[in-house]
Amino acid sequence: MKQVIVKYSFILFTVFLTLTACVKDMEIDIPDTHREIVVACLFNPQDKWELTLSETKLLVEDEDIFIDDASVEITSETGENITLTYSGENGLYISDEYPESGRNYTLKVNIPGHKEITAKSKVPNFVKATVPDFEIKWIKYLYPNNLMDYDAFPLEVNFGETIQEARFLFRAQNFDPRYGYNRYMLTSESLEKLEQEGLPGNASKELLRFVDQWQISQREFDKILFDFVGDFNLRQRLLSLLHKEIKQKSVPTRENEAFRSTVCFGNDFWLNNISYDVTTVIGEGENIGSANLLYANANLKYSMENSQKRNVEFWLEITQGSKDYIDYYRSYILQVSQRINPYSEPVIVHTNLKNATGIFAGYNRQMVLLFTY
Amino acid sequence: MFISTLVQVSAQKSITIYGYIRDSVSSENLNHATVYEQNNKLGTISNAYGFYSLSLPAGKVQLRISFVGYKEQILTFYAANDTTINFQLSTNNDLQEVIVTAQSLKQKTTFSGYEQIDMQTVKALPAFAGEQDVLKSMTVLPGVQQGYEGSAGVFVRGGSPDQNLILLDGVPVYNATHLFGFVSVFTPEALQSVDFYKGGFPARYGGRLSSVIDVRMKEGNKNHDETDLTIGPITSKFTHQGPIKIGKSSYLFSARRTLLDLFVTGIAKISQMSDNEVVVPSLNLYDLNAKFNFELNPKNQLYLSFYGGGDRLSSNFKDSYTYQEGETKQSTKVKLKWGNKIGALRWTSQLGNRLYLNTTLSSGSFRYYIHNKYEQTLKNQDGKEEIWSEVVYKTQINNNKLQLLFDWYLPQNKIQIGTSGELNSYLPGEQEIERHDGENIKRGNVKVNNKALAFFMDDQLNMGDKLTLQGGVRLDLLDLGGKWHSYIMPRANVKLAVHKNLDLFFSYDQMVQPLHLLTNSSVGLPSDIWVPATENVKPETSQQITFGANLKVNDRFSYQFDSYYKTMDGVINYKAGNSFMDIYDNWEDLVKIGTGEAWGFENSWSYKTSRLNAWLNYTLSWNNRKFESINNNKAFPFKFDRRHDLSLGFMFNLTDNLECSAVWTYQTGMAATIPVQDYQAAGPIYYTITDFITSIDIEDTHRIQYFEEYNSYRLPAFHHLDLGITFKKQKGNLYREWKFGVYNAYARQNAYVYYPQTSPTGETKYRQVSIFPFIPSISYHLKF
Repeated sequence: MKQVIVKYSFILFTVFLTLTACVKDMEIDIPDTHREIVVACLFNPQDKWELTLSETKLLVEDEDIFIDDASVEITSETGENITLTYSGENGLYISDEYPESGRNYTLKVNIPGHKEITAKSKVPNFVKATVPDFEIKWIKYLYPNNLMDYDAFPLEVNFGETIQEARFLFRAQNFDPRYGYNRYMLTSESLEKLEQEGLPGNASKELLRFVDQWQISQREFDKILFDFVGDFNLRQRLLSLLHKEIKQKSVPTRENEAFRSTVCFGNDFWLNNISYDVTTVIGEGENIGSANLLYANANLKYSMENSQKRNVEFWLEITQGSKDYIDYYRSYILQVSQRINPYSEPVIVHTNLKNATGIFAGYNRQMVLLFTY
Repeated sequence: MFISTLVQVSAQKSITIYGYIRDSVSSENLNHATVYEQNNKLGTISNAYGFYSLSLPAGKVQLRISFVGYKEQILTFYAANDTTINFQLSTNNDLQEVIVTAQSLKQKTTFSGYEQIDMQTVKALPAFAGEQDVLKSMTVLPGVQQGYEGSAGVFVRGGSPDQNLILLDGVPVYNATHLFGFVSVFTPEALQSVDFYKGGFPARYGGRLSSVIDVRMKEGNKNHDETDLTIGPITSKFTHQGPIKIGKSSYLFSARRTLLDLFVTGIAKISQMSDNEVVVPSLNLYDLNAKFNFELNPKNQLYLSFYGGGDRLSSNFKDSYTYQEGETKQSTKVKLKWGNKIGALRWTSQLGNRLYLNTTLSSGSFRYYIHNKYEQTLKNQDGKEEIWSEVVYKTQINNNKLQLLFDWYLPQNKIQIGTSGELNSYLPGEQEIERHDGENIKRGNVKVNNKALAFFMDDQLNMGDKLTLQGGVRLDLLDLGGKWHSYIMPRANVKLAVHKNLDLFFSYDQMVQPLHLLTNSSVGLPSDIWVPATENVKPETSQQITFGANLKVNDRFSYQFDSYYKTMDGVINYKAGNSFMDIYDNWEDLVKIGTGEAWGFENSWSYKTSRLNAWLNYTLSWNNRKFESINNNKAFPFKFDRRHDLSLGFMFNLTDNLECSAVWTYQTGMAATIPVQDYQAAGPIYYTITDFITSIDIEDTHRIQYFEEYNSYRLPAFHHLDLGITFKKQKGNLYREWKFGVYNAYARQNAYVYYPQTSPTGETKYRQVSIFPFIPSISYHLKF
């Protein structure tokens, strides 16, 4: 309904404006732009240390600028020094060591010609979360931020203890074994064939980013053809050739990227979704023992009503973040959701780095399988 | 020398000359007419009801009475005792010459920061789409800026539009524009005068930080009937005035309405999407003014004034589709209404020859209302299902006020003293949703009432003919949600005539604003929401200090300089990512409280002859804001920080029947926060990539847009040239006027909205929407 109000208010306003409106490219005087160093490091005890160093790039530029000559050192509160070495590509610095729960870490990055970059963060103490047995009771939930109805069912997450300073991020995920184990690859040779068939140069340039790498789905390839090939007949020919050329394999594990997110809402005083986002629930609170959520999936409801079992796994991703981790995600989601609202105040995404932007923040992540249907 | 003058004055018998200054044709009282006694070099100004009182030593008196647009009168006589003299001024065809004279006299009696907006000048300036506009005409003044293209929003000395106290017959007007800010609500034919203060505020004005725009309706012709008719592209107007009792009482009625809805609805019908889809939009605006005044006796007058105006937008969207199993029909009806209502009952009373009392009881309100109804009917073999929902959203502000104001004329002094009490109510965004399934919702911010009391006093002291002092103090007692707070605001004005052609000015003001406007756009959208100051979000306060000079080079050429430094506390800004679309939450949680700082140098050169009035106004200014946790706690340029603001114009009477005018406006581009860089996000988000409102894909959700600073970029400069030509003809009692105009004559594409767009080749560019590239207009005016 809010959608309808805003839409039609906008249409009415536009009727007036378009009587005389015209659109053109704007010349904005952009002075010499200072490029900021970007640090990307979200760390957790299950993954080895990884950190990416790059520079902010102009929107008009195509490729990121990675930094390969930095010295990266992380010191734990116990005095242990961890040195991250350059992996050789994409500004990635790695170590064979793992972060530990409950530890504070200090980052120091030195890049020739730049001031020392520093940041501090902690991996929160791990708290085991469980979802007690529950019965799916569908309710109609009206999400206040977009006034749309969702079919959802409530569930409770139990932490087994009272957490003094709770900072959590919840996401609903599902894993479809029919597709989740599949991987897809477009080879350089196949790309050449597509080019010979008439693939436009800009589409080729986009596809090149994914060539010779295994992808979770083939949707990315299809999307590029839809975005960059305007002629219907040519696109159909290219799609047909693309699907024929794509290589496929299976993997034995459920990789994070193979999960598909679904809709999830906060149903507790300390939890909320950000702006119009319906996939991530964020909460910060004191003395918290449990979290109530609403899990929504339209396909699931339809399947259950029609008794169509598909063996899809329904999971809950529970991330326990440091303060910086939560602030980062909160501002990031807010920026994305307000990006096309011209009336919104600009959102600067949270950073905890000195002399750089980006994020250095610890978290603990756990996946809870709710059921399979 | 001052002491000897005072001693000399006190040694003679003091007498008082008092009375009213009126228009000779209509007998309307003239506000701000100048009374100047040349022998003693003493002067005063008529109050809003034409009353003046001047105390002088007994003896030979030579009075010069003048008012902009009227023939000057000089009266010489011997006055031994208190004397009543009522003046009837007649308009002068040789208008510009009178302006020159009146301005030179005005310099002797008024302070810096004050302008009387002459309605003749408003009518002579090039019109925007045929609409003469009081607020737009003010934007040619130094220190006053226009917001967006075509906007009637006024930004005064670093302030935002909500910091302007706009009064119509003494009652606040909360939304002074129509059509999303493009036309002001004031019908020029119904107006008598506009007093504009950007500094040196008299103590009787309070409640806003940056300016006072005091608009007064005409009282109505007391002698004979008079009718004005205007047909223009945006609105058509009708004004009628006449006597109720000749020479004693009168009335005025004015109505204005747009004819745009005929075009909009027509175009929409022609461009209908398909037989199954129907969209019928409708749009209109209207203004109604009415005023009655009754002379109870020669010393008592009763005025009753009313204004009602608003905008209406509606749309009816229907579509249907048939499929194998059945049929679906849906319709959406949207109505948006907003507008002001104002009423004032005023009793003016002359209490002796030096004291004048004005008692006003007034009420004003602004209301914004949306009603949306969605219905869907599904028919198939299983039967019929109906789904519907109805949403009502409203926001409202009401002000009820009783004010007593005494004008007390003493020898060498004019004291203005008064008090007022206010009852206010605010409804800052309430939404009610009703649905077919009974799941009804009521949410938003509940109605809040508060009270305010004010006591104020001004004393204008003439110390000889060189030094004039005006000191004032205002005490506001404000109820901020149950707890009273007091604010004392001292005001001071000094004028020193260092030479017969050079005056120096100094002023100091403190102001308090007990209400805030929640706005993202500052263009006067009806979605802007007025909210009261509370314990958590205290009133806005400001201090301003000014220094200026007036130099009259010769009878034709003059130069005026003003400089100001203003600080503001308690100004508000939406938090990052918030907009009026989030008002369903507690509004206090959506804003940040901060400070503002503005300073500038205003220069005005003018050249006036009997046929030509030319000017060059230039302002160099800075305007910054600072909010905790916005822009890393650093000060940043306010969106409407315009470093350079220039207005170059002329009005030329080619013949008695032909008048032309041209105004060129230039402003530095608006400050804007524009992401020009981005970087790869550290972790994934699963935000839906298609925006649910606009159905536009949000591009690159895995990338973070990087902003170095708030408002660190400048949009392209804003400038346009407006031209106007007026053909006039008077035949007996019938006056006719054709006005032709062009807004933005060289079709400058000024940015109204800008947005990033990535081309198919992957290149990101900013695109701008310009809404008024070239607007020719024609209007026809009849007066009889």
